[in-house]
Amino acid sequence: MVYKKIVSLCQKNDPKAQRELYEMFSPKLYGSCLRYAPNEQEAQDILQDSFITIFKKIDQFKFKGSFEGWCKRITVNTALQRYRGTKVFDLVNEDQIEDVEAVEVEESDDVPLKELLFMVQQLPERYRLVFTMYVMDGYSHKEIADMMKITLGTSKSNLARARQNLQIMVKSWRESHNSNAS
Amino acid sequence: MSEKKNIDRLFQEGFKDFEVKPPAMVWDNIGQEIGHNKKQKTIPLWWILGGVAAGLAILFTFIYTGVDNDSLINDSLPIVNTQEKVRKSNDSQIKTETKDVDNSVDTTLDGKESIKDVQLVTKDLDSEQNGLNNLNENPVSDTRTETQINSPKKASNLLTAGNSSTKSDLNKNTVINTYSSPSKTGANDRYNKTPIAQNNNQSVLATQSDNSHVVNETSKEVNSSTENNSTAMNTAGNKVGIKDSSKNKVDDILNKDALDSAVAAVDSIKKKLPTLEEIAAQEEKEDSLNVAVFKGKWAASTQVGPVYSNSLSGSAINSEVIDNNRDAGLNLSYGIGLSYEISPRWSVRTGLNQVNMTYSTQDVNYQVNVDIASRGQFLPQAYSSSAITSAVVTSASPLSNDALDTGFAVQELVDSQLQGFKGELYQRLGYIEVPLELRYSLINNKFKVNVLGGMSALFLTDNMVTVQNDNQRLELGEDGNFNEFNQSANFGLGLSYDFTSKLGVFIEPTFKYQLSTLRNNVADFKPYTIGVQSGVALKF
Repeated sequence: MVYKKIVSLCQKNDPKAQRELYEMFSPKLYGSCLRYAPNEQEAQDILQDSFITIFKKIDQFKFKGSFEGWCKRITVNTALQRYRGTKVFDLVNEDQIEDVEAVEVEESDDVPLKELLFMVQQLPERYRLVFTMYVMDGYSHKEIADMMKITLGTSKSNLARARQNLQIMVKSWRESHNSNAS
Repeated sequence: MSEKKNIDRLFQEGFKDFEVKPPAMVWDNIGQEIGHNKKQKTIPLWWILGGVAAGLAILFTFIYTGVDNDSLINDSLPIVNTQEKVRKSNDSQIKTETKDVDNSVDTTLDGKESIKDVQLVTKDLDSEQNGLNNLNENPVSDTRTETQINSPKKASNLLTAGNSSTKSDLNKNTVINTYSSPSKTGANDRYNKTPIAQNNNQSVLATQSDNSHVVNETSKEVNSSTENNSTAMNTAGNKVGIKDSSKNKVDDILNKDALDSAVAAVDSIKKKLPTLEEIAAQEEKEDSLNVAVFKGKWAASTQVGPVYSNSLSGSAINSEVIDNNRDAGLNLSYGIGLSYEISPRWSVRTGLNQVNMTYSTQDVNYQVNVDIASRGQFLPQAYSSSAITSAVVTSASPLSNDALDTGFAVQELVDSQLQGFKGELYQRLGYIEVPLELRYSLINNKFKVNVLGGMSALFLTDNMVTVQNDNQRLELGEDGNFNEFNQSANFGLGLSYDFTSKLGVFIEPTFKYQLSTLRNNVADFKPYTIGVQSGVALKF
């Protein structure tokens, strides 16, 4: 595997290899950063901090798992550190959480990716983090709670709120889109 | 009919394989944070040039001192015998010396005899130190032996240190402070995480092995400081070794087996030295890693330089003037180049150069036929090589005319023929050169040493023959015997230095042997050029 040799060279602080590694993984990681950050500028900051951490800690990678996964985890942690202290509205009683798992929207293949990204970025910090971690990166509520230092219930409620907000935004976009079209 | 869809799936599918190329400035910031860009900006140009000059000086010093090593080894051997003589003849004195050296040399300054003894022993230690250093071995201290195994070149540093410090440092402990000085080891800690600061000789071994990586990975500044540190540490280590040896040495003198153990140490060291095969295997391994991350780069260059043109033998004129003296022409060549790296060490290149060449043949007598001979004017016919004879050979021939030696002038014609005039014949040629060369980097760091070879296509653009003596100059026109198109075989060496990953300078002495220069090569004409091209290369 080419990436293994590149990682080996990066562990020796080879500048060329570091550049190669960046070229190889930065598009995917920047995609993640854009979903965790509220705007491009902050996404770039997260990406920058993530790669600095990756290069500093690359000695610790022992080729026992996916290197891409290792990088992704560093990126998520970097993003979480940035927003971990953010307060999100009022505390929600777990009992009051409505099941929004089944929230449905109309078939929206026509919703452009740019709009979807904008909607995610419009979510309040913690809603966005929980939604992105749970829905797009596959973390469990327990993992999210541990990583974000919140309770399990808060994680679930944040996810529910995020879904509700997104549902409203998708519906709103479709309405405006349809009215413009007609 | 609208199909309902889970909102999670909407976003999961939307962001599936979501990739965005980040802006370039992100990498610039990262590069500065992790060090490489920052370091490049802080290195002054004169440091780099000074470093290159110092490197060459050190290289030549190594070569020079390496030649003398054999004689030094021979010089050192009798010193061991001297020790034995001292031991046999002055046992009691040696005991005194042992005590003195262990405590302080000052305490021995009580009487002349003891001073003499101490000096003898000191000299022995000093001489043996030198000899052992030159042998790349050390029977006294295992730690020093390991240091020398690691890098034979460092032994020269040790040699210097041993020569300069042995006498004075026997009485001083300050060298130990130097060895453990954090200010000297701090720079290494900053740039690579090697355990240099550990106060033992094993760390010196580790540091030197890691330095081979540092050479590739960090700038010259770091290299120089790192190497200086390791040199200083070697020096310190050597001094410590000397100090230790000063304590142990007298015991060694009393030990008959000291010499045998020294010889055994040499044998063991020789066994541990890396063989050429091992070094080659290591280089091959590093190359294979470089190949894995290699990304071919284009480079454009501009170059200019002097070109010396001459011929190995023969003449471009005719066989009559083969033995005449020839002057080499020195002209200017300039052009542009384009190269592509096909592997970390190999690159192919082409370009477009304007090359001028001059061949001059002395003492020729040019016989001119004229069409018009009235009113003191004449018009020479087009250049013809058959009209040229050697003035040296034909000085007594009917064609020569001493009267013409005083200058070129219209002479009274006999049978419409100017009998000729003596002078030097210049053949000035201009070519557009299109080279196709392959280059291999023998040393492939920021500083590169290259060998190159290839062919050039030469298109004749300028062709003029003139005859000139002290007073007159006559242009005879083109020499039709030169081919409009010919080739050359090129060989050269190149030195280059990359200031950054994109900008570098180079200098390349090249030898170019021309092929099929003449249509009709009756006089075994073998022209060549030697050029020294220098220029700037921009990689992209």
